[in-house]
Amino acid sequence: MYCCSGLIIYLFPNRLMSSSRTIAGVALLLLLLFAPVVHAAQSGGGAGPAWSDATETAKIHHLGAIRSSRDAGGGKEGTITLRKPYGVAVDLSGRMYVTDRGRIVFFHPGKKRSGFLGSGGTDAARSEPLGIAVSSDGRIFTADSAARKVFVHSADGKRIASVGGAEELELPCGVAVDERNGKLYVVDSRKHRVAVYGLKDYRLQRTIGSRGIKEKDKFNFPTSVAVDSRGTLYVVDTGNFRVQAFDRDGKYLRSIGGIGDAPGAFARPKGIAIDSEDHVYVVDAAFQNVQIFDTDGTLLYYFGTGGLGPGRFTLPAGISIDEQDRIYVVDQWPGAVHMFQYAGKKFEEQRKRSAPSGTGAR
Amino acid sequence: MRIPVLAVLAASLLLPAGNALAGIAGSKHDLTRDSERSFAQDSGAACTFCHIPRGGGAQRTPVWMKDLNVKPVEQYPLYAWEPTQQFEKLPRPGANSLVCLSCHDGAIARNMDYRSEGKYEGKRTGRAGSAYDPLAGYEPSDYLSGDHPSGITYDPPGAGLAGITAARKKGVRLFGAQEDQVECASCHNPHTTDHPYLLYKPLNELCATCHVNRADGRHLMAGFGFADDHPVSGKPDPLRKGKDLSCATCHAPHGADILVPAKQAPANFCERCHIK
Repeated sequence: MYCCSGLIIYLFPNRLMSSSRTIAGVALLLLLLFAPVVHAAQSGGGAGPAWSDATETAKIHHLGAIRSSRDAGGGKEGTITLRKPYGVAVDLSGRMYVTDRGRIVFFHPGKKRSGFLGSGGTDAARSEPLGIAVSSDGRIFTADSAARKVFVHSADGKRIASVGGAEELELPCGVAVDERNGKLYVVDSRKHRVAVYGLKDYRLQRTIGSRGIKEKDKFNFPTSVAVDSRGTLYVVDTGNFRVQAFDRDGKYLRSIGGIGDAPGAFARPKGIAIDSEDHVYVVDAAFQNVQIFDTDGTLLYYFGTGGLGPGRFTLPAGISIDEQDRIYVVDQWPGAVHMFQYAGKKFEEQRKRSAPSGTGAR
Repeated sequence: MRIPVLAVLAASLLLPAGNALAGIAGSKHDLTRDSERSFAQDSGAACTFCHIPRGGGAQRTPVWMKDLNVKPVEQYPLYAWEPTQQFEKLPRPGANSLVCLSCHDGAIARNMDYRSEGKYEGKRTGRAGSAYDPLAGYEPSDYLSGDHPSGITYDPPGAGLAGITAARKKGVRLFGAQEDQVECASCHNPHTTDHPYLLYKPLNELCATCHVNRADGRHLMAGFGFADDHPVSGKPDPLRKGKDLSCATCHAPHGADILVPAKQAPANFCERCHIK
């Protein structure tokens, strides 16, 4: 199978291969099957792990990357190759949505499908989608900087609502949904604040923050947002080189990081995402890596380094983490989405739960 | 005597930085300001958006790395590229262009492309691009579309360009280990200039610095029996209100068509202006 796909398969840590009979393992295998040509990275002297020497005990495993519909197993609409992607979001079915210069592309590796969401870029001149988020009921929220709105699509590609507008949003670039508290967070890098909308009525409830350098609960070109399981809002305050945390009522809690080039600092923080254990993942385009913090802001780990290949980024931007703790990182050059697995509690439990049954693929 | 010498020394050291700072303060690249007021007390803060100071950070081993007995780096390399053998010669944005692109992503500043592989976009083969082989699926051609190439080697032969030594002498900034890479900062001075788009020189003059075969302005109509070439200056640009004709009228360096050779112009290209 591998051979006829013409793929050079990245050698997986034994531990993952041994679980290939499990559902999780099969899911990984599927990803591998539709993964692109993955060249064994030469282990370099870079900052992050280069994935050839990923050890069995490593908590982050590289899975593969998708640049075009071929990598995702084909599609009905011919070949789609990412141009300059920015954001990524994945729904419960495993469908991956990528914002990409005037269009929203979707890849569904499990179903060998790919295509465009909505107009498919025919209206490109008036569309500049950036941040993207998906709710558990399948709604897709896209911050569109050209329209100054957040568009809401249903999974079948119909536009069901538009949020905001020129009066409320100047440059919406990041979105996050908080389903427990019924909130839609939109970060605006020109108004230097976060707009909070109702997740059902799409009405503006309040805004958080204003322009400021280094002062707490003020922002300088904030770009991304994410919400953890407790409803804590994390805002990437790019121009202040930090991440600020707020509670569900918008009250300032704490700040993570600061300017610098040492682990734990930020130089060009971009995308942010939270895993099932409320770890905070922050992409840095200058470090070309992802730093992982706990809720208190203690640095846990980092992965990635500059270059091209598994675990290497050139210009990383958006990040998303799905229900299975799979991590998706957008690299704007040459235009790809890299996939990793966080092998945490959820992953281990799933592996243990499905291992004894031995039922294999479903 | 000592003090003046020191002062002169200090002044001479500070001068270049001082000039750059004077240019940055209040400019578009001063991200501590907007048009009305400054948001920073610290005048050096404007520099640090691009020139990241060393240090900062957690000052201790990341927790999981401690568990795994992995030693962290003290400093992350910035905008680095570690070549794997296969992709060593891949045209790609260099470190200093990545600095630009890290903000020019549409979220912080205007989204810029870097179609350095534009040269390869002419002919698509059946294969699609692959995540780790971006040129897969493209065959080289002479047709350039999209943006002016950046992250490419300055390659005079056959392209009608000034020789590399001559180009350097004329002040063309080339980057990389061999100092032969064309990057964003080859045309744009991020520390501000007197010219639009932070260009180093007035537009046509800038183009002709490298494209010496076009310096006399004769190319398009030569051989077509017209007395003169197509005008490239001194007349209003019908496409861009309030501006004069320039090289960029036809060869927009970003986000439009760069036409080489002209016979591959898209249909109705001339009719954009020459409406019958």
